[in-house]
Amino acid sequence: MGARWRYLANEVAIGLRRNLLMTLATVVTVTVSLALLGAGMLVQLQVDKAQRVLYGEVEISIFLLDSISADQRTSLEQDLSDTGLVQEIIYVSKEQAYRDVQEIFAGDETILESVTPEILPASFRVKLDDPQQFEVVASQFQAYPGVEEVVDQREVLDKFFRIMNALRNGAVAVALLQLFAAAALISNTIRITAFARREQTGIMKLVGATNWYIRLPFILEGITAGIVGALAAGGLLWLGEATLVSRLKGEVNFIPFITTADVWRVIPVLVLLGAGLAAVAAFLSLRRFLDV
Amino acid sequence: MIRLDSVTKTYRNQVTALRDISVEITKGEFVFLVGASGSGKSTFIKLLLKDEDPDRGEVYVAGKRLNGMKSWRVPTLRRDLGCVFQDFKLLENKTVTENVGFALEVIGKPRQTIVRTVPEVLELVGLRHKAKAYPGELSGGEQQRVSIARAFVNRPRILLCDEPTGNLDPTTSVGIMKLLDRINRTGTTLVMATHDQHIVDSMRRRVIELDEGALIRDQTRGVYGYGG
Ligand SMILES: Nc1ncnc2c1ncn2[C@@H]1O[C@H](COP(=O)(O)OP(=O)(O)O)[C@@H](O)[C@H]1O
Ligand SMILES: [Mg+2]
Repeated sequence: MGARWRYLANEVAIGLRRNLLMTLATVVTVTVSLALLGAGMLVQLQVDKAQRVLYGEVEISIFLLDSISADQRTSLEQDLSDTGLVQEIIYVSKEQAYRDVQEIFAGDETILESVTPEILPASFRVKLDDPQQFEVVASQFQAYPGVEEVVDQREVLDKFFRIMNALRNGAVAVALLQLFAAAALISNTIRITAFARREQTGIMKLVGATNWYIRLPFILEGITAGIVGALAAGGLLWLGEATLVSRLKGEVNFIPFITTADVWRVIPVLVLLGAGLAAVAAFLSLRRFLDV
Repeated sequence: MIRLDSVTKTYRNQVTALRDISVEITKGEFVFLVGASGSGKSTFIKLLLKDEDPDRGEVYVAGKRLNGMKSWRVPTLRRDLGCVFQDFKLLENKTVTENVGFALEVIGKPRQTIVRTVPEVLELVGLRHKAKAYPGELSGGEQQRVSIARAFVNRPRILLCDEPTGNLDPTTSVGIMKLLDRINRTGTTLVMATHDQHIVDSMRRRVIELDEGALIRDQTRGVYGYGG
């Protein structure tokens, strides 16, 4: 067993060193592609988070003045349901709004500290049968006594989410292209290595080394490049989160942002992808170049 | 130990290298495979190694039927076989010891076994004193001895040699033949392709002669050709 592992470690080290430039190119390509892919995944997580908060089930929020009387509130609710356009009305008290914020921004101390129940308005969350009817409802209730503002969250949000989705799709598309390039580079590295080792491989076949034994150094070489690339990509994402997103967090505090924990969740996926892609690329090119 | 039943081998370029060959070689035999260049000797050996597959007929080696043998079983077959070639096939960047040990290492033999067996086999081929030399520092005959040591280190039941003296001068060849004879006497079945008339004539062993892929002679204690 000892001899076998020493042999493997040796072969992998020799192989990686012999093609230092190719290896470097491979690792960089894997890094770029997985960083983009990871960025796409984080954008998706970000969209999910924001959507959960901002859309919810609700299409219209009618924010109430603190000065609204109980009678005004009851008649407002009554008139809302009398329009016949409304599917559901939920009253969110100031306390409930505060609890929601606490839940949504759990762990985000800076936001939580700056929020108190007093500064949050009570509201009606109104779900319309037909969201297109917003204008009708808005014009009817905008000037209603005790109403501060009628807000349709969709319009603003749709634009925002369209941009986010485009960003995600772009990142994923480029990432997939890059992954192809990475697979091609891995395949090429293996072709070179297989050629450099053809004598040795021939002897190994002759003396009865198993196919897997012959393949393993090549595949491990690919996987090593894949994993190193994935970890580097993870590092880039972590850096991005720590600088970019953290700064955004300081400036935009009405939506929750992805956290370092989310980056940590993405990294294992990237490592698996990097290693898996490399292993598959290596395996397929071995059949071509090594005939094992 | 080795049996071919009506074996025909045609390469993809339509060259028929072996035609309807039937032959049986029993345990411990020493067999010369003779014939002009291109007569099919190397193809014969490649079939035994399952490096090539026959188009028709059956091949049995070391108790195994090679036809339809799954590729993952081939390594097991090859561990029963040793092979020696005209061009030695040594790794230039490894020492004699490492070259021989490599054959054991890559089939997963433990370190202790390798350390113990390699010097023994080097002793057998008379190269104990060159254990640390690199192939480039050895004569052709010495390199062939290393190659034989590597083929024999795992104690195969069959040793296949394809023109092992093809690159050597007559004197050196005699030494190699003595070594192969010694190995054969340990009970190892030995098949040797050659077109070296002197060697065949001096050894007086079984001779199988091929001519354009056909078996034209199978003679115990034979010579290279009729009437010399
Ligand atoms: N891989 C191959 N592809 C096509 N033809 C081959 C191949 N190997 C050998 N041959 C042909 O088969 C015939 C027998 O070759 P070979 O077995 O090498 O003979 P020998 O070893 O007796 O010289 C020759 O005509 C040779 O050209
Ligand atoms: Mg030949």
